[in-house]
Amino acid sequence: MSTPIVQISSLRKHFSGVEVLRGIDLDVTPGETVAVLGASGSGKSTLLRCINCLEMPDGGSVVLDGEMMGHRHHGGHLRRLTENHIAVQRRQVGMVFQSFNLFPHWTALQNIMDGPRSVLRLSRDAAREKALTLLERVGLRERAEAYPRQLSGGQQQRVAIARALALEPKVLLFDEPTSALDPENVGEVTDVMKSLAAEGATMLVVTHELGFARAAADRVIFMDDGVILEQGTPSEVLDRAREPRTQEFLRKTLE
Amino acid sequence: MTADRRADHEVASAGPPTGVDFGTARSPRRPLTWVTAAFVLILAAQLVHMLFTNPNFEWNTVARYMLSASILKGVGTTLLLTLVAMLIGIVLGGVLVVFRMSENLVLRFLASGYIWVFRGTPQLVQLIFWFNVGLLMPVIGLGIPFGPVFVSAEANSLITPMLAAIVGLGLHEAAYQAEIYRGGLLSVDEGQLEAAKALGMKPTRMFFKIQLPQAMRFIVPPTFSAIIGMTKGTSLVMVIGGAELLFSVQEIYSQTFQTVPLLIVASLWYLVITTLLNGVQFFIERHYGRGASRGGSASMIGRYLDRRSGLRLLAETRRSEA
Repeated sequence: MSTPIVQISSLRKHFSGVEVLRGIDLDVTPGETVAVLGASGSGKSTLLRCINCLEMPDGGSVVLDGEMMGHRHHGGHLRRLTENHIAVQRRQVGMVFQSFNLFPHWTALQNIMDGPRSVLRLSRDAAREKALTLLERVGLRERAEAYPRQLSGGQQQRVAIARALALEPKVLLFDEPTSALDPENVGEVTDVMKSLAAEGATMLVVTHELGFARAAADRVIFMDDGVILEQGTPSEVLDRAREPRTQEFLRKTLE
Repeated sequence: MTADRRADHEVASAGPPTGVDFGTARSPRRPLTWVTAAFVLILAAQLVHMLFTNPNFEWNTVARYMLSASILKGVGTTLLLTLVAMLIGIVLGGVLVVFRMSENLVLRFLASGYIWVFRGTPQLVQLIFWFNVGLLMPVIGLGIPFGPVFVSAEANSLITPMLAAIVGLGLHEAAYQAEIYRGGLLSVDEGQLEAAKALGMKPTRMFFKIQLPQAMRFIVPPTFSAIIGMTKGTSLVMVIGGAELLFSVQEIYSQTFQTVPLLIVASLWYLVITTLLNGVQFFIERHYGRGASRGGSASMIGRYLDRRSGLRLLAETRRSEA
């Protein structure tokens, strides 16, 4: 087994007295696709958001490719990084949100081009070419000049995936990417995600789509009440769950 | 349940509506609209009748003074005061909101204190205060705190009515402007900021590229209300002897006693200025409405232009989809 690209240990986080994460240990190897299941409030989204420092953990650590996220050693102390430094670290992590969060005042193309232009310092033409290639990959090249509101939910989410890919991140985080979609649009988004997984992207996917977890995940994690209750291959967790909470969750989700 | 079925049955027995085309339907009857219209027409007729027959309006006096040199000078002063005071308000308000929303506790405290004082006292009081600041500090100088003073001047010669007006109106406006900005910035969806952060944007770039452009849609309308308010608010400057529009007309009617026609002259000029501002507002709002689902302009002119450009936009969208 190769060295993990993401190493999460003893991660803890609470919001106004409520323990949302109660000691999470998780290693993700390069190229691995991990599906994170769990009821709402089990801490799945918070786990994802702690990885790219959208939430600052209360304890434990997140190490990405050997680098501590959001912190550094300084004169024998551990010190939090400034927002400017955290911003630089976040460029190694792509994130796709439940509500897409495309920038509404920019076209699909502009949404994707901005990162390559401002971070990778590509020329306008090179960034444009890169963005168009990414749009091609998610099947939306002909919609490059559309504003987000002119796109369907599924199309917006595919643009958002292209945008997350534009900085060539080491890890991709998906926070319930299909939960805000009409059922008929779910497939077009999971298809893109499946192809990414097949091409060897490292992905953490919080999802309720058991079908996606079964088809594309190398590992399935079940979270309950701030801890990882159970994990294994898709068939181990989805077909032969050991824990009663997992079995109950799966039964309710399949209903 | 049974009652529902009976009702259904009764409708059905009255003859099923077949071969009906809703496209041929007329608007519903609105008798109250006609009553209101008649009432308003009568009042309007009376008003028009009065405008023409009441000699106290002295329309020829209005016409004579409308473009007279002293009035135009007053209009110029009003415009200049509005422009400079508003610029101070817009720029200083921007500084204040950055302080107010910064991580730095001291700056936050400073901005909150400023807004508390300048928003919490009457504009008129502030104007009179700045005009009389010489009573508090007879000599105003520039130098190092508790150290040497490099330049200094007598307050009474330094503080002219115009300077007091610009300082008074500008500082007061800045407090309001800061709150307008803050409201606009806070109305940008949190998800937008998270997406920008997740893409590794640094805070400054995120502010200017993502937050501010989206906040502008919420900042522009109240800012134009503030400009219009400022145009009218400059009339307060009259009390400290600033020769703006209202001061100019008052100077004339205090000698000629043509109070009503000269107040009409002033009002017409204020209306001309604010109407032009409405037009400018429309174009700025349209610029910042890019990608937004709906605009909706406040002014009549805006609504008219909106309909025309709305049709054009619709045509463009159709073309791009085709």
